[in-house]
Parts: sequence; structure tokens; C-alpha cells
Amino acid sequence: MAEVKSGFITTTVEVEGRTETRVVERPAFEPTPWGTDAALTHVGQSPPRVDAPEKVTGRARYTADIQRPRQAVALFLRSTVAKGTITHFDATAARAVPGVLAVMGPGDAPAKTRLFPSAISYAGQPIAAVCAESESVAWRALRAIVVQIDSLPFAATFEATAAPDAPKVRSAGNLAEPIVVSRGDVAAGLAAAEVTITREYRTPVALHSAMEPHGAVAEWEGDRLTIWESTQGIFRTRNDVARVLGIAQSQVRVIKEYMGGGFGAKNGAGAHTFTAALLAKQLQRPVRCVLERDGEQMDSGNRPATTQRVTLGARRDGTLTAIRLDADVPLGISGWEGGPAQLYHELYACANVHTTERFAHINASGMQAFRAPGYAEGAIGLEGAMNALATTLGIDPLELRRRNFAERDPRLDRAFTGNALRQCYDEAAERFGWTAPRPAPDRAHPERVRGRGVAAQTWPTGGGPPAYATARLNNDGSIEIASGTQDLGTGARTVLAQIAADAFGAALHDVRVVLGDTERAPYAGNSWGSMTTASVGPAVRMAAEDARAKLLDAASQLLNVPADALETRESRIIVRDSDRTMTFAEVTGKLGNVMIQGRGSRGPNPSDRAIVTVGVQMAEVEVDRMTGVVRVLRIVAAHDCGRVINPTLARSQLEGGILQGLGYALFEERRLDGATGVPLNPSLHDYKIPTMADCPAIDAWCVQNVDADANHTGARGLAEPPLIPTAPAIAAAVADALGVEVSELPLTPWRVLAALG
Amino acid sequence: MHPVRYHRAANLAEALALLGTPDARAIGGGTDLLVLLKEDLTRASTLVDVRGLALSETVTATDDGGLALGGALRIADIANDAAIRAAYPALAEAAASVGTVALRNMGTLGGNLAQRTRCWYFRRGAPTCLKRGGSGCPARSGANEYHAIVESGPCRTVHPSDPAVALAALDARVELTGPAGVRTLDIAALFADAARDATREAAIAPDELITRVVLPGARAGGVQRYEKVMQRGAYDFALVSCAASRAEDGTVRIVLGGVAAGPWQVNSSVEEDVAIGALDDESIDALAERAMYDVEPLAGNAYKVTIAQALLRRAMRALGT
Ligand SMILES: Cc1cc2nc3c(=O)[nH]c(=O)nc-3n(C[C@H](O)[C@H](O)[C@H](O)COP(=O)(O)OP(=O)(O)OC[C@H]3O[C@@H](n4cnc5c(N)ncnc54)[C@H](O)[C@@H]3O)c2cc1C
Repeated sequence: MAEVKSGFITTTVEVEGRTETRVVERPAFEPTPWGTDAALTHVGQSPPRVDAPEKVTGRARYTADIQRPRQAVALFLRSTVAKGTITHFDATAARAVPGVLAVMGPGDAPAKTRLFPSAISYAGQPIAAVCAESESVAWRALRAIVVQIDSLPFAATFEATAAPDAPKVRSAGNLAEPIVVSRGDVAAGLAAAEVTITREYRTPVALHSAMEPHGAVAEWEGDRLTIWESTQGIFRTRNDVARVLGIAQSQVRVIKEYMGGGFGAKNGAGAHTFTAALLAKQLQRPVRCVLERDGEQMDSGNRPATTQRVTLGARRDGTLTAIRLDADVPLGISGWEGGPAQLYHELYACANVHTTERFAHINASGMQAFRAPGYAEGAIGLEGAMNALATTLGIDPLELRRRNFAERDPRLDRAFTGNALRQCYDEAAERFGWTAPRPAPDRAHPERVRGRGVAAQTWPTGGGPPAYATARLNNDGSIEIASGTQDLGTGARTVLAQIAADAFGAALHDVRVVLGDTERAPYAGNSWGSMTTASVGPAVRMAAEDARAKLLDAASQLLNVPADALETRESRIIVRDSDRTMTFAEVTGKLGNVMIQGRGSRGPNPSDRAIVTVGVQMAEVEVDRMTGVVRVLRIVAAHDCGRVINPTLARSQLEGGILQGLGYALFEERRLDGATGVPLNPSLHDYKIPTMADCPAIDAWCVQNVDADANHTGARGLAEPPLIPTAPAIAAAVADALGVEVSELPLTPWRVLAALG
Repeated sequence: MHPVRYHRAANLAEALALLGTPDARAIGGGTDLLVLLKEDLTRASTLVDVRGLALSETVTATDDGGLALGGALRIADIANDAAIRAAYPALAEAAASVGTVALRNMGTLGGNLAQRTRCWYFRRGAPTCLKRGGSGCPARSGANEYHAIVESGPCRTVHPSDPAVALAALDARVELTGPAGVRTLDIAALFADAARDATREAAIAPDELITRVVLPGARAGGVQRYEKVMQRGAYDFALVSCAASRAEDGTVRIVLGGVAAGPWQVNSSVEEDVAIGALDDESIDALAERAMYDVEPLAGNAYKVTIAQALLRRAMRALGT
């Protein structure tokens, strides 16, 4: 390990496609990168999840399972009007229901919480909360509340909100300044093109639909507040709560032990958190506020719809000369500008790229990041157009991608720390049988046509500082690693245990990883942007190595050999070139209550290098031309995320992303009633996520690679990337099967049949 | 959910007596009723469990060689019963296509026929909806991909039951028992007013029970099929479904689901032409056109006509060539 000068430096971190500048403290030392030849025992293996027994036996407690003594229940009343003003609110009858403890309505919550305003700006907006002894009492009381809303004209589509006489959705204006990003000269690029194609694609509003809904349990003890929250960011939730309630961060503890999915929609405190905290304070008893399924599907974030008008220019040999995008994105009532454009700048080498994104606000629930926000939408347009271009040019679509491979990050003209996309292309083509002759059509069922398609992906996955971890070795030899990150179900707890075990030279079962508690662990950031492994992994490794160095120091005293003559393996200290060993427990037993502790932090990323995870997916589908029903037969996926810490968990990430992408391609679409703006399908039956019967055969893997330049564990992120290429690969396969593109997602029977004419 | 009193009746007479009390409802598996109660789409203060009553969960042979199915027979049992599978495979397939394993294990035949519409305007409580106390049908000018292409009343609901479609193609009769005794009606008559009735889709009085569904021996065997087109591979209602049977005597029944307020039997002249047989592709195409000549799709569901014709052609090919 190399000693480095400590102190604060300025660095950049890419989160969800946005670049953030941060001032961070340099770690006290940088461990030597684990290169290709690093001797690792646990990293690279697939031990089962360390918490698998808890999960399969039901012992694991999710936020929704938390039961505190005297816990009360809060439920929301939601607006069935898309825009209007509450003119009358009467909760007298609700308060009279036996068992009702409190009602909070318009004007009852501090302004900073933004809870229960009297102006309604989307259907599904919380109007009031009822807190009661039980859910059924709260349910009845909600129905006893009398509300009158003067409804106003609303705009729930991009077209409606952009119209000259549109109702005002937000006082600052319905449309944001368009975001225009340009490199080169797209007009010149189009003039130089021998072939140009133009397409328009539409993508739907998609819902995260996590198995565990948003929820919080809040409990006060004097002026100290504990919150159990289903969150991707315990520290961010803590800080949100402290800021909004006007209390110190040290007065708030946020705990999240187990979680049933987040996918980007659980990045901070929400209305349910503030409601639980306020009611718990008022009533002086714990309050649980967990969204019901319809609330979850109506108002907990979404991937916004897009319309993408794409023009590609190319030479006859397939070399791209120009990429142009005009996109409209209706964000909902709130949200950030996570649009489709960035992928257009990053995936292919092309000198001339011009993108324009118009973001608008509409009277519908606000957007939130959703697994690869922007890129998943952008891939529909860019990869759809690339496939159309391949058809027009008569070039194999995979070959077209090879010809436009970006050797350097084309957006910022910098080198990659690693990019094995071509290896992904080769391995996927081989395992898919991309060039193999197609099977003969099914003569008995001529209406069943098959097709295949391909799409690629890039996504920034460097992670970065700040992230901290501590390690401590107890005097029985057991090890506790603590970091204020969280495991959303991805397996982070297991992956970090593997890294710690190798860094310590410990047995995996001796390592316990404590996450998800702001009072027990030092800061780590949100689990978003595919950052956890790449951000927290190095901090954990450093903490474990720091503690290990102290252990060896102590052992050298006990064994009377220099510390550099010692090695650690499976919780044993071994004197090199001798048969003398001591277990960790023997050393710490002798030390008594002397504490062996280590501290780790995440250092900055290399400057001027792009750190990305790339990949390609191929789909084979069967379409019934008579009914328009599409079935995905198989998906082959090859991705490069640097070192794979746990191949089984990596494959789980790939499979999960692929199934979510399949839902996006074929079924998923939030529907709003045009006349009222009310969500029509906020249930898990009507909002159609894939079932097991829709699962294709999936052959997914990460190519053998180590990216020691990205960080010293050699691993980049993998969480979001696999979702990106699935839907465009399926859409391409459907176009291949039908001989005509279906340009609007999801590819429902009515859209397929309409495309067939 | 509002509090309810739950009764497990000892026998049919007791069940009927309890059903005669105000605000009482029969409950089978509860897979629809409990959801309706939770979502405040219906009211009940007393639930009378119809499972476990004599005759209610059995399959018995009838004198004419048919089968009588108990009103509380579980959907899973219909799908798996050997006698049903042998004599009425279209019904067994329709039952097997219902929802999920859990729903089939809990749901009962009577409950399936008496389930409420899945229309999302109804389910989301749209105030203008006829079935929610309004006077119109918001689906007509709204989001109507899943609605009826056949005009049969003010409302454009489709009946969600798969078994009902197969039962209609098998000339099933439904036996209802109420305080005044037993009455029997054609399965089609059960749904005749679905698009007009604000309170229900099946013509069952609140104090009546579906005690039996009787399948005539005349339609046992022969050629039968059930095909269901849905978006997902499982756990979906039919976009369009088609049950068809050619009985041993040569008569043909072809019934579509997902297109009308109840199972929709194609014009008998089409069925007769199929019965004559020896159909070539051209005549099959012509018959499929003719069967759908008077449908009136809405802005979003003309695609159902295409699917319906595809299913009709497949059925005719199986039955009439
Ligand atoms: C998510 C979901 C998916 C589904 N998918 C399908 C599908 O693909 N195809 C399909 O056909 N169905 C489907 N269903 C409907 C399901 O089959 C029905 O919910 C079930 O069959 C109803 O049976 P039950 O016994 O649970 O009825 P209950 O919920 O107990 O009762 C429903 C209604 O029937 C009445 N009732 C019950 N028994 C009797 C009786 N013997 N006589 C008179 N009235 C009675 C009740 O009073 C109530 O009004 C689905 C349901 C759900 C919730």
C-alpha cells in the first residue's frame, strides 16, 4: 500500500449521468490495486447472500414489518382531481370514529414539509392523513372526511402543457428552457452523409413497482427521533428530516435493515416520512405510514414519457456522420432533467451530435430517477434508429455497432479506464448464434413469425467519494464492518463482506457487515447511480486493511517476528516460510480489550478518465401476426463491469434488469384518463409487470475483466446497465419479425396490429 | 374495510335464510368480493360462506350423460377434474386459464360467474360511470382498449369470466336457488342485462345462490377448444377469447369472450355453415368477416375485431374442415 499525502482535494463524481464536483478528503493511504493477478479467496466467488437465511425464513424485517409498542397507523386521503383548490375540508366525522387519534389536513403541517397544500396539482396528491389505532379504523375515517375541491382545467400531456393557452401547471411556467448540447457541426455531418434516416419514437410513463412500497415508522424519545424507512439513502433521509423539521442531524437516526427494492424512487424523505414524524411527535407514540399499493402506483415516482425525433446520417459503410435528437419529456408536477439525450452523446463515435430536450411540467405525479433514468428511454430512440439505419444500409446491425465503436469517451473526449464492449459483442454473438442461419419458419403456424434484435448500452459507473467504512476486530476474532450504505436487495451486504474478508485475510463467516443505520456506521452516499460497490467497496477494503495492519503489528510483538514476515489467511496469521500460525482470536484474546480498529474512505476517481459499464443484449422473439401478441423467447446479455465480486449476484442484477426491461418493452404503461387526469391502472394487476410465464430463457454474464484503473478493487457498478438495452433489443427483434417497426412502447397487441396495418 | 359479520352456514336452508337478511352477501373464495369491499366498491354487513354446503363442491353425472357442477366448486377443481376434462375440455381449459394458481385455488365457479366487471373506470370509482351511480360510460370516449366492441347497452363493460365463455359454448344452464325455490336459466340469459344493470353483471338476486351449473350430455365430447388471447403469458384477463364446440350430433357453437357484456355467441347462420363443414380458407375468411359484421368498436379497440376474427378462423378450421 502506498502512503499518500492526506488533505482535501477537489474531484468529480458522475451520478445518474450528471457530473458533480466535490471537495473530499484524501484517504490516508491507497491500497495497491487488486489487479488481474491479485490472489483473492472470496472476491470472484459466489457464496450465497449472507442474509439469505433471514430472508427465506421470514426473519428479515422490512420497514413495513416494523412493530413498535403502541404503534399507530397513518393513511393518506388522495385527490381524485388533477387540478383545483380545496374550498372546504371537514374532518369532524372522521375524528369522531372510535380509534381515530389525529387528522392532518390542509394548513395543519409546517410549510417546510409541503404537506397537504390546499392547491391541488395532480390526481393522487395527498390531501390529508388520518392516524388511528389500526389500519381499518384509519380506512373508515378517511371515508368520513368531507372535501370540496373547485376543479380547474389541467394539462396532463406534453402537447396540452405546451399549448399557448395551456393552464398554468407551475407558477414558474410549464416549460423549462430547452437543454441543447452540441458537438461538431450536425448540419455539416448531415450534408456529408450518404444516407440519412429520421424516426420518431414514443416511450410510456413507467412505474417502479417495487415489491415493498414506500414507508416509514417514526418514534420519538424526548427530542430524539428514530425513523425506520425503506430508503436508498439513510443519510439523505436523515438530513431531509432534520432540515424540514428544524432539528439537528444528531437528533435523527434513520434505520433500514432490509428492503424490497427501490429502483431510484426512494432517494430521500417523502410525504409519508414527514407525516409519520409529525404525527408521532403530536401523539407521543410511534406512527407507521406505509403506502398502500394504489398510492405506491399513483404517487411515488415514475420514469417520464418521451417523444424522440431522431435523425442519423451515415456513410454507406455505416460510419456515423451525424446524430440529431429532438425530445419532449413531460416530467410530471416535479422532477429533474433526466432526459434521453446523454446516451446519444456517449454510445458511439460520431463527430457531430446535436440534442435538444424540452422538459415540461404536467398535472401528474412527479418523476423520480428510475433505473438508468434517461438512458433507458434514450436507448429506445438511438438504438431503434441504429437498427433502422442498419436495415436501410443493408449492414448487419451488430456490425454497424462495431464500426462505430467509441475508442474514447466521445462526449468529453477522454480515455476510458476500461471498455470491453467489443468483447461483449463477440461473446454475445457467439453464444446467441448471431450469424447462425435462422430456423425454418413453422409451417404449421405460418402466422407465428420470429425475429431477432440487438442493442448496446453504456452508463457511468465509477462511483466515487465520499464513502466511509470502519472495521473492528472483537477479542473473540469476529469482525464487524460498518458503513452507512444500504442493501436494497442487490446483495451489497454480501459483496462488501467478500471484499472485507479478502482485505483482512479472514474467513467469510467471521465477517459481519453492518449497514443501514446512521448511528452505527459512518457516512456513505445513496445507493443510486450504480455506485455502491464502486464507492463503498474501496472504503471497506481500506478499513479492513487498516485494521489488518494493526493486527499484524500486535501479532509481531506476540510472535516476535517483524510484521512484514506475516500473512493472513482465513482468519489466521501465518509466519511466512515457517509452520507457526496464530488465529485472529488467539491474538485478540491475548490483547484483551485493546481494540483493533480500521478506518477506510473512498479516494477520488482518476481525473480525465471515463468510467463506464458497457454491454450488449440480443433478443429473439415470436410474434403472432394475427393477434399482435409478442413473446420473448430468449435474451443473451454480455456486460463489462470490470471485476465481478460475486458472479451469482451479478447475474441476478442482469436478470432483474432484463425482466424490468422486458416489462418496459411489452406491458408497462401508466394510464391516465384523458378527461380527468386520474390514474386508471394503479394496481399490480392493471399495471402489468412481467410474470414468470413471460420470462424468456436468459443467458447473461459479465465478461472476464478487471478495471484496476477505476478504483483499487477493480470493480465498477452494474445495477442499472442491464435494463438499458433490453427493450430496444426486443423492439428490434419485433421489427425484424414483422418487417415493420412499432415505434411506440409498450409493444401491445393493438400497437403491433396497427403497425401491420 | 367496514366491519362485516362472517357466517359459515350449516346447510343451504340456513345460507338462504342468512342471505335474506339486510346487506348480506354470499362469499365463495372472496377473491373478488373482498377486494370490492376493501376498495369501497360494494357494501355488505354480513358475509355468508357458501363453501362446504351439501352438493356445492361436487361434480356429479346427470341422467342425460352430462355433468352438474356445484356452485362452490373451485376453479382449480374444474381445471383438474378428470370427468370434466374428458367430456368438456373447453371448460377445463378455460378454468385453467383463469388468473393464477392462488386465484384458481380460492375462486369458486359461482363467484366467478358473479364477479364484477374489471372496467378501470368502475374500479377506480369514476363518478360518471353507470355502475358507480352515474348515468354514462366514461370508457366510450376514454381509455377503452379493454372494453366491448359490441353495443349491448349504455355501458361498454366486458364480462371477465373465462369459464362463462366455455359454458356458453356448451349450452350450460345455471341453477339458482332462492327463497321461492329453484329456477334455471341459460348461461347467456344470466348476462343479458350486464350493460344495463347498474348494480351487477349477472342476473342473480341478492338472496339467490348459484347452486349448480348443468352441462348437457348432448354437448359432451365432440370437438372442443378454448383459446384465450392475453397480453402477458399468465395472470391476465382475456383481450379476446373464443370457445367452440362441435357436438357429436354435428351442431356447432362458437362464443367469443372479451367483446361484449357477456359471452357473445356468433350468429347462428355462421354456426350452421361451420356445421355443414368442408370449409376452405376463403369461406373461413368470409365467415369470420360475417360473424363480426355488426360490431361497433370504439376508438381504441378496433384491434379486438382483428383478434376475434383470427380466433374465429382458428376455431372454424378446427371444427369445420
Ligand atoms: C387479479 C385477478 C385476476 C383474475 N383473473 C381472471 C381470469 O383470468 N379469468 C377469470 O375468469 N377470472 C379471473 N379472475 C376472477 C376470479 O376468477 C374470481 O375472482 C373468482 O372466480 C371469484 O370466485 P370467488 O369464489 O373468490 O368469489 P367471491 O369473491 O367470493 O365472490 C364474488 C361474487 O360472487 C358472489 N357469489 C359467490 N358465490 C356465489 C354463489 N354460489 N352464488 C351466487 N353468488 C355468489 C359473491 O356474493 C360476490 O358478489 C381474476 C380475479 C382477480 C382478483
